[in-house]
Amino acid sequence: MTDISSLILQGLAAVLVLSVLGLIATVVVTAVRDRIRTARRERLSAVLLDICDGEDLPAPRSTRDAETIADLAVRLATSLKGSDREALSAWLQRSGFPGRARAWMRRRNPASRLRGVALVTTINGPRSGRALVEMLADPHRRVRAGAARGLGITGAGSDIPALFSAVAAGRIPAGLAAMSVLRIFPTSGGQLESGFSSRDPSVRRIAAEIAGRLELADARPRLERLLGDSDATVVSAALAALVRIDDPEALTALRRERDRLADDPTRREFERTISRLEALEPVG
Amino acid sequence: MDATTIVIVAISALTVYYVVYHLGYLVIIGSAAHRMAADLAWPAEIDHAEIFANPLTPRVSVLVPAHNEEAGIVDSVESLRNLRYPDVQIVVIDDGSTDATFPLLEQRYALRPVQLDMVSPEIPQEGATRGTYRSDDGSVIVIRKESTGRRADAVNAGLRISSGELVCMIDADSVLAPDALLRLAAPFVDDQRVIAAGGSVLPSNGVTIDGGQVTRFDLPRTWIERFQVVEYLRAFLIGRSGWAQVNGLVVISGAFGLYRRDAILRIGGLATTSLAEDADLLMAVHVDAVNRGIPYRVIFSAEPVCWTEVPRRVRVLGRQRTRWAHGLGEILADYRKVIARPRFGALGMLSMPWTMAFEYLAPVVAVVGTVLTVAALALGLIPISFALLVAAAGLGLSTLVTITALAVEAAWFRRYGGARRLLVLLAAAFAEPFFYRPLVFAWQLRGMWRAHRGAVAEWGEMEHTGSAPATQGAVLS
Repeated sequence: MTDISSLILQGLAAVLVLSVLGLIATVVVTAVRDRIRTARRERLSAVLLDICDGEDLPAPRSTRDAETIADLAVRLATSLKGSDREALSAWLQRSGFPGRARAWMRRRNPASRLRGVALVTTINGPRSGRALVEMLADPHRRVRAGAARGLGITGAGSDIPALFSAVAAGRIPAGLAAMSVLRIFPTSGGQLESGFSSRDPSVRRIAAEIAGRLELADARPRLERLLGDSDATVVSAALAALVRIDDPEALTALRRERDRLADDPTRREFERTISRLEALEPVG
Repeated sequence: MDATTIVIVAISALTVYYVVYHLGYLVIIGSAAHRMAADLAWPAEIDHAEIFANPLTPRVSVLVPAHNEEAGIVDSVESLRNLRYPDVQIVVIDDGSTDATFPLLEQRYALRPVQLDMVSPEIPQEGATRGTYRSDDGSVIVIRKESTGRRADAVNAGLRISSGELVCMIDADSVLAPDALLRLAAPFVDDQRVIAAGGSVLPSNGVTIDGGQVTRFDLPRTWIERFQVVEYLRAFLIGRSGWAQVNGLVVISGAFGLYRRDAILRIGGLATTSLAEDADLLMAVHVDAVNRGIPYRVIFSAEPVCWTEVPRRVRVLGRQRTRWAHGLGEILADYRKVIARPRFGALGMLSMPWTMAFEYLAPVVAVVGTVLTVAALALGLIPISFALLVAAAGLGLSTLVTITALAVEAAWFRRYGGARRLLVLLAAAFAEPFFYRPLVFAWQLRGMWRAHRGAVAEWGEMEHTGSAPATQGAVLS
């Protein structure tokens, strides 16, 4: 008994000592690693700022430098606009980063794939949109969300149907798609047509919300079509959008749909909308 | 079977209990470490920049229930005004304060009486509203109400008039890091299944806060506070990260939690009869989601930080821990039907049984084990070497768990870096089982006793150092 006790106690003491040493080693190693990383980041940040200023510097030779540059570029691009952003994007394209981004997007680790998505978004090259649309089918939710956000930033109206389809397929949340489509900034109701005619009510709802928020006057007929929608949230979104668009032309459709409704909250919502628009209607 | 054998079997069973507890904890820490590594590997710059800039980012209503919080309420509100989040609605609920909480807010934010629309009148409120106010710039709303002695009633009053799609609840003596809300809200945007999220809460004692921002960081001076730092890192940061991995989080701290508004509305707001309203809210949300059969997730994010002042006096700490144990007893009794039910997943099969066996009953087991061992030694039923082995194994494993938690913190967050801080935390890890945990057990036993007697608890006062947000933070005692 005593021998076993002694053995167990000695073993436990050894484990404790090892854990303390492990803690100390962790602190030392992370401190050294942080210092090295910080130095590399400072050196490469200076390089990136020169690139944004229009200097044409050679591409980094080491993989580690390239990865750090890619991460820094993604971060920097979130606060860059205009010529600085274009200079950075052009340099990344010239320096072989599109290939690097594609390789990352094929990795098994989802965080690496998202890193690839972020880099493609930052590069914003001619084939970025297509690559991001493909990533909307990624198995990982967070990568798909990153691709949706990337499509919002790269901003092509032709990508809007892909975002709506991803919502309908349950691959991204409707709220996230709405944010991305709004970021794309469609300039006509026609660009939202795939949303208005979607079978998924959440897609029809966000199409209506975006049309209203962007005050797309030419979306009025499509919104009027949604007034008779079977989903109450779609009808509410269409009513709110019509109020935002502020076009008294919608009154005819509103009155027609209201008259079909019983005295319920939806009918009262119609009446409020009609009152708002009647205030705008020219008298006589 | 003779008496000696019975005693040895009983003590061996207790030893197995402790070994299972500590090894289980190591598994939780391992799981949390894995999760943290994975979380920190995600590139989040674009996500955060886009969420920050987008007009459709969901509004967050931050509800701040306050009862006699004159010393820190302004710092707390300032930290909320400094948050990097595009659409924050700050709602302070002055729950019957008798100090200068309201006059300070009124003066600082030029509050004016306003009539506020009732957004969710279906949420019950017991204490009558005495007035509603809005700041000159519209950024702060204050509700003055009569206190019913329950924090939940104050939160419900805020819920009724707030309009955010997401609802954040914080303590009035808490200060949020500028990015904390953005980081915690991002998963709600990306994943419709996320219905609740907890953020890490760390003691602000020793930290200097100026204008709602952490300006200088250090460990607290007294050991009772340092023990709490170690405890927060182990149990409230890493422990909760581990449980969140399996969707089994039992509590999201009332000091910093974020919920989807509709999830709270579906359960009718916070239960005003519960002492542990934060745990009760989360359990009710879990149960509602399981009953409706929807896929859902309750997450915990270790990166966002909420700094909150912890008690520096033993008497105040004792009141707090007594209340926590009392509340935990209520929760376990109220949600006993969740325990060991497979349909509740990891919550029912792992985290609730774990909470019952290793958190709620731990002080009882400790007392029984100690009495049994001492009696057996006195009667000569067991050799002293056996008793020493059992005690050393328990203490050693406990310290090992704490050191592992410190290593995880050091590897991923490094908030307590520096040789001196490391040595202090190590010393606290070794001393905690001897000096701190017996006290906590005693307070927990008192809380269990109060829960058994059905005692009623109310808002209480807590002294503050004045170094941190210097809040006269209210705790329920």
